[in-house]
Amino acid sequence: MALAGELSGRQPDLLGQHLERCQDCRREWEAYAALDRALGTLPLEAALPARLEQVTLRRVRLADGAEAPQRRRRWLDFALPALAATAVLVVAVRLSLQVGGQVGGQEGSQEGRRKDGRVVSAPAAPARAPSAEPQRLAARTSTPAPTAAASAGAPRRAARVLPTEPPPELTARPDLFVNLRLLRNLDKLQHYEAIQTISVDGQNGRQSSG
Amino acid sequence: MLQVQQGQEHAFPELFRRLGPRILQYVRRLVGHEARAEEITQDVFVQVYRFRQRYRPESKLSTWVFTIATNLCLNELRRPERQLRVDLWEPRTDEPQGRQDREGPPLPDPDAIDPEEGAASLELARALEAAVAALPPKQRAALLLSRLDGMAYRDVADALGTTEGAVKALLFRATHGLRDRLRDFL
Repeated sequence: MALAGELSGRQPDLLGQHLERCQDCRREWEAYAALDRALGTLPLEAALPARLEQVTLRRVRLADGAEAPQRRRRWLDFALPALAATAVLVVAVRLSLQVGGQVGGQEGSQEGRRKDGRVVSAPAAPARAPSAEPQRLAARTSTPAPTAAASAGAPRRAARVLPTEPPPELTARPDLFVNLRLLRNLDKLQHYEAIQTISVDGQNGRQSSG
Repeated sequence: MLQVQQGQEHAFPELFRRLGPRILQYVRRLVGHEARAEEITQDVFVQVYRFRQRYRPESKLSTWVFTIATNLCLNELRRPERQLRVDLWEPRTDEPQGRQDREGPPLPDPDAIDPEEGAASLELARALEAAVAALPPKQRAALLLSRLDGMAYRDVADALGTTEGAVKALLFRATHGLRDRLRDFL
């Protein structure tokens, strides 16, 4: 503390008086003072190699050059996704308006209207197209037939409905699949229903097939 | 530094020339590896430039730069692979004396006329540099910043991320360690 000049008030005087009397402390004091002087003689600065200055300044320039695109990129990071989202939203709204307008216009005049994935009949269909009757009959059969609305108003939905009749090329050649193993063994499956309905006879304990 | 913040091109090289020699010497003593010291000095000034807007004129510029240098050096000293490096500041026994002089620290008293006195000073300087290099990193940093670069305890505490009391304790232990190591010279 004394060497760092941190003593205050009467402390320096007291230290001086003690050092006059105590040889050990005086020796230590002199050693620390010599150490402090020696530290003071060490050079504070190093000679800067010219190469170090060049390399450092070049790195700083590179860092500066890298900062500018980053600054530009920073706002692009937010702007690009926002623009993309806006574009997707606009296209989606426009498509839905188009499809809704077509489907609504067609389906409003037709009987069938899809609701929750099922075909339900409209409660009131004042203006029914004459061509809708055969389609309505077809819809009642087990085979899902394209509704009038689907076939006429929504081509994309109609494309997903299975055809009711096989294509004419297959109809013209009934022997086309005759070599298939399943078809060749079809006669062995004639008792299929009987096999499925096996029941246990409770009275005599024998299995019997129906 | 304010000119650097304002983007004036000539200001940064000037800043480097003004503070570079002190920073290089400090880093060299703290890291104890010549080539690495130059790399860290580069890093210090690149960081000074990158974070130039964070500097507040209320604080002393040299304190701010020394804080960056201290952090980089202490990080370097914590790296485990550092233990494998060759310490260029250690005198090499396989070379003639002339080369050792060239690679060692500069003469502490170039104006010494008496050869014996000069040799004694040189020897003491060498021993002192070696003793400083043997101190634990934080003690070494505190000693260099406070006793050599003349920073106030509060600034040293800021640079080391500690308190003034802790700095005083570090300085006491460092001085005591140097006294023990240099008993033959003092």
